[in-house]
Formats: sequence, structure tokens, C-alpha cells
Amino acid sequence: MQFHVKEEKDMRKKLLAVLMAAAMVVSLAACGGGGEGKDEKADSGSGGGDGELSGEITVWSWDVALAHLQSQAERFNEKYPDVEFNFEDMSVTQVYQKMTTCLQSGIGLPDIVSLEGEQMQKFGEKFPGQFEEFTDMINKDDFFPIKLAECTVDGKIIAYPWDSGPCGMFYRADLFEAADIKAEDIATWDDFIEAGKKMKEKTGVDMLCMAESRNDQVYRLMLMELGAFYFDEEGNPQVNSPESIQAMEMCKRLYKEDITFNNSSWDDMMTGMSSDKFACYAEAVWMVGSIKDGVPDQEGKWRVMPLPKFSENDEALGASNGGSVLAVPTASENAEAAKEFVKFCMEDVDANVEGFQNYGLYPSYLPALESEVFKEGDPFFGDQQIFDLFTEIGKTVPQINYTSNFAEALEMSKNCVAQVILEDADPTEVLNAEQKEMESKFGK
Amino acid sequence: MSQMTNDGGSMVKRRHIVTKKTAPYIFLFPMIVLFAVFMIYPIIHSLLLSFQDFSGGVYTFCGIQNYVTLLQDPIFWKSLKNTFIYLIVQVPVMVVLSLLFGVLVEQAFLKCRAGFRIGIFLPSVTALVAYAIVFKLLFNTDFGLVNHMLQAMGFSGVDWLNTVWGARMAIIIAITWRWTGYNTIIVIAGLKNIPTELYESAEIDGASFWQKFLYITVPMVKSILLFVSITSTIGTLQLFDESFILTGGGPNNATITIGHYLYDTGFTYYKFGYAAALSYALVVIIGILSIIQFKVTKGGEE
Repeated sequence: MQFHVKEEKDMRKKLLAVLMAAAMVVSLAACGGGGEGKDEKADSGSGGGDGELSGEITVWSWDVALAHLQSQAERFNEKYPDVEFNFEDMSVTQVYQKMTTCLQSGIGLPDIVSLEGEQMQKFGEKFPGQFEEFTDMINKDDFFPIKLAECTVDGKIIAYPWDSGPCGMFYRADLFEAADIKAEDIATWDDFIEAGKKMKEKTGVDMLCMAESRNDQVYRLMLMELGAFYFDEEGNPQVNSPESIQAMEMCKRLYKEDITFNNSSWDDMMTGMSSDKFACYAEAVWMVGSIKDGVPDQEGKWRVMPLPKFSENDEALGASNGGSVLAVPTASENAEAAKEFVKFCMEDVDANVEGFQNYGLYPSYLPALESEVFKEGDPFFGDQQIFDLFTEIGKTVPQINYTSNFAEALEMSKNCVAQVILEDADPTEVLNAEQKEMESKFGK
Repeated sequence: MSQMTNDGGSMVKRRHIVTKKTAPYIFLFPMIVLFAVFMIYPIIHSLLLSFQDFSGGVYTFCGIQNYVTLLQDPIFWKSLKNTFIYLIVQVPVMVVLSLLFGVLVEQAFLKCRAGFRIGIFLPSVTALVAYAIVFKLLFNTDFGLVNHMLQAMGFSGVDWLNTVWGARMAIIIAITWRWTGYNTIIVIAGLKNIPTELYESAEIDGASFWQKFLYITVPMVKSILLFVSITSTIGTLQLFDESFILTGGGPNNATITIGHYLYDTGFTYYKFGYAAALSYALVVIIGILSIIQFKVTKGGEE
């Protein structure tokens, strides 16, 4: 028995020795690896080459955005062959769910992730220091101001602006003609309502697609036009501002005049579009792709005009909706390579033009927007130069502080629209109540 | 084995960990570990979490602040109210329907009873998400089948998902469709236990169908009906999918459930501490209702 125990002890010693040896071999190898890396860096530095970037980069993105990054990775590899990519295709909600758990635990984060611009502030504020800074890499004059505002948290730029969503009024030229309405005559919302009545009377078609309870889009775009938002520059709620009340009252009027088509979801809106239920839809530039995909038989019937203003003499501000940004979590082991790739995709004119032509990603990088492709007329839109129009609108979109509470504020705002429109509540009272609730919930 | 333990000293004893006394614990060990990791730890952690506030990437202790906010949160009260509306309207309707279907399916003259039973039970095997999406399409105001049929019959369509009571009715109809079959099967099990002699003697006495139903069937399945109502009540309190997919909690939070609000607070607004406080409020409510029902059940048995 005694012998048996001794034998076991010896065995353990042996095992320990083997393990230690293995550990040493591994650590030595790691040292060697590190050394080699340094040497290579020095070599390439003197040679002036760009071969110093290496490592494996995992990218989380969705749909066409991922497809675009994938095609750009091939171009990037021509310059930096040592960088390996690993693309993971997920839905928008999937990205958020995974990011939430990974940021909480600090494990399993990707090297590059795409996020919706409006959500970036929430991620930046709730998880400070978890995203790489781009403040010194980025030239601020090269991007739409609104997109930079989305990427800036506490004065630091922690993401790269990608596609943008300046908004215009999409309208059906054939229906306008049938109702004898001229788009040039519509400058203000009052004009729009008058035209809407005419439209309903002559064709029976509703003028505008506006959600009654599931979305606050028309109200939110009006707010931005008036230079206001849910929050002021410091991020304090200001939903009972005069501008906000004005916008909400206009939404109520549109509804009361019985010229709106209600949609409770995106699918409703698309079905309504294909069955000629409405003539106008206020949405961002990326809607171009959705219209082409959703109603291919309406080719040539669509046009775009700027959103109507509140008063003819006002300097109209632009409104924006959607568009994403690219961020690099600090947990990334190859943050340098990841940041370089992000900059490469976002600040390369060809990359931006390709993304637009192949995937309909409308960039926020101004030098790219100067390219010829954005000046061309689009046959689907009766050869109208729609993208030029969107670029001009994009430049006038004011900077907005979305704050980390945007998601909750959006939900509350939808409910206010529902109260005003469906329950016939007074806009001022509803917005005052909303302001109070926001102050108690978001106040620090 | 036994020989060794007999002649061995303390060392030998130690070597034999598996004895009659320890064996149950050793066999249970994996389950205990799993239970501790996936049940006990989250329960304690979320309780602690409910006293903390998450901001700026760190959790800070904030006392009972979350619970104070909770009591003043209009959406919390609204979600509570909605849940109780579902409870009060839907549970009785469903229990009565299950009893009705149960009795009808069990009638002796019925042919192909198994087929009917399967038909009634089928809705509860459909995936929650799939059925919620289908109902969303059915209740669509402009293009939905329900309104199409109403209009074909000469009624005006209902704006189901955009009016307060329309949306609530849509949810109640959907839950009833989904769960009635499940409860019917339980009721049928209860009906099968009723001795046929009771019906036979009632027939000899000249009792009508309704008399038999009211004075034999209902009293005999009373405890089953109670069980069905308890499980349905707990199920309703934990409702999530229907509110999340079918109505999105709208319009103006008229259909949001506590479960849905809890999800939004935690995973959309990133207020993890507050979400934990909400979940404990739900625990307390379910606890109170269960105690009440437990007491009522005991009364029923006596």
C-alpha cells in the first residue's frame, strides 16, 4: 500500500515536470513569435512597405453591410496580406443581444462591429472605455455633421460614420398628375395638406403614409426640421418645447384632415405602397433601394422632393433617419489592424462608391459624394437627380444629441403620437406629461 | 471492498468515498451543481442587482431607489393593469370553453373522437412566435382576413391593432386559441374519472342533458377546473410573446405585459438594476396570487 502511494507521488512529479516543460516550450514559442513580429515591423518600416499589419479580425454585421465589408476585405488584403478576416452574418437584433452580453462579461467581443447610429451613444455611455477612439484618425470636415454627432461620446469619436439617412419626401408623380398637383407648389405643410385634400377628392388615394401608433417618424422628422429633438445639446429632455408642440399639432392636423394612410408595420407600408394606397412617404435615402425592390412595376412613377417646411421664409433644416456606424471594441487583440481596416472602408472614395452602387449604402463621406455616380439621374425616378438632392439635404441636418436614453425616449414618443391621434388628446398636455416622465426617468 | 474497510486504518476509510450514506449525494451532485449555477446563483444575483444602478459601465449600490422608481412608474402600473385585464377576461372564458369542448368531445354518439381531440390540441403545439406572427397578419386592418370576413358579412372592419380594446381583444383571442386545447385535454382527463353509474342513475330518474351537466359533471371536475385556472393565471402573468410580437405592447402601452416591459427595460434600455427590481415585483405578485389560490384549493378539498 505504502509503495503504491509512493508510486503515485512519483507519477505526479513526472506529470508536473512534463506540464512545466510544455508550458516553457509554449511561452518560449510565444516570445519567439513576438520577437519575429518586431523584426518584421522594423524591416518593413525601413522598406517603406505596409506589411506590418497582421492578425485575425472578426467582423459582426448584417445583410448588405456585411457583404460590402467582405468585398472590401479582399481589396484590403492586396495591401495587407497578413490580415485574416472572419465574417459573421447576424440580424440587427442579434448583434445587439450578443454585444450586450459580451460587453457585460468582456468576453467574446468581435474586432469590428456595425451598430445603428442612434444607438451608438447608448453603447458609448453605458460602457465607457470599451470602444477604441478615432478622434485623431478622422478628418471632421469630411463627414456629415449629424453622423459625427452620432459617433461622439464625451467629446471623443468612438466610431466611424458609415452610411447616412438624410430624409426627403418620396412621392408618386403619376398620382400627383392624376390629381392635378404640382410638386413645385408644395413648399409648406399647409400646402401639403391642401394638396392632400385635392388628392383624396380626385383619386381617393391618401396623401401620406403615417403610422398612428407604431411609429413617431413624421413627428420626429418635423422636430428635426425645426431644429429641435427629444433632447437639447446637453442631453436634457425638451419634448414640451414650442417646436415639439408645433410638430405634434401638425401631425394631428394631417390625421384629422383624413389624408393619411395608417401603417402598423413596415410590411403594412410596403403592401399599401404596392396597392396604391398612398401618394407620399417621408423617409431616408435608403428607402430608394426598398422601393425598387418592393414595387419594381412602379418604375418611373416615383420622385423625391424636400420635406415641406413649416413656413415659407424659414431656412429649412434637414432631417435624418437611420444609417449605421462601425466601432472597434478595445478588447480586440488586433485593434490596430481593425482600426486601419475601418478607416480604409470608410475613407476610400472607391470603396464608398462601390458600396453605393452594389449595395445601396449611401455614404456620409463627403469626398465620395462628389463622385459622378451621385450626380446621375435615376431611371426609376424618371431620371431625376435624386442623390444630389439628398446630399444637399444631408449637409443641413443639425447635430443631435441622441443620448443613451434614445431607445426609451423613442418608445415614449410613439406612445404620445398614439395618444394625440387615436385618443384625440391635447398635444400640449401630452407633451408636458411626457417631459415630466422623462425628467423623472432620465434625470441623474 | 468490505474486507478492506474492515482491516484498514483511517487512510483506507478515506479512500472509500462511496458509501451507502454518501451515494445519494454523489449521484445528485451534478444536478445540485447545475441547479446552483443556473438557478440559485441567478436568483441571488438578480436580487442584489435590483439594489444596484448600472451607469457608466459600473454597478453602484443605490438602496431601494429602483423600487421607489417602480412604484412611481406609470408604465409599470399600466402593464400590471393590462395583465389583470387579460386574467379577468381571458381565464374564465378559456376555462368555460375547455369544459364545453371537453364535454362535447366526450359525447358517446361522436365518431372519430381521437380526431377531434387532436384538432383541439393542435394549437398548443405550434411555436409561439409563428402563431403570433400569423395572428398579426390575420388582424391587419387593411389586408387582414378577419376584417375581410367581417366586411363580407356586412359589418364594418375593426382597427384591431391600433385601438386600445381592439388590440387587447386580439391578444385575448390569440391566447384563447393557443391555450384552450391544452386545458381541454386536462379537463377530458378529469371527465374520464367520473363514474358512468352516476349518469345512468340520473337518466333513470329522467334528468335532462343540462341537469346532468350542472349537477354531475361540473361538481365532479371542480378540482380540475381549479387546477386549470391556477396554471392559466400563472401563465398569463408571465405572458411575453403575444405582447412582444402581435401588438408590440402598443398602442400607447395598452397591451404591454410585465414580462414585455421587463425585457425592454433590461435589454433595450440597458437598465439592468431596474429590470431586476421589476422581476422581483413580478415574483411577489405571483407569490401572493399563488398563496391565495393555494388556500382556496384546500377549501375545495375539504
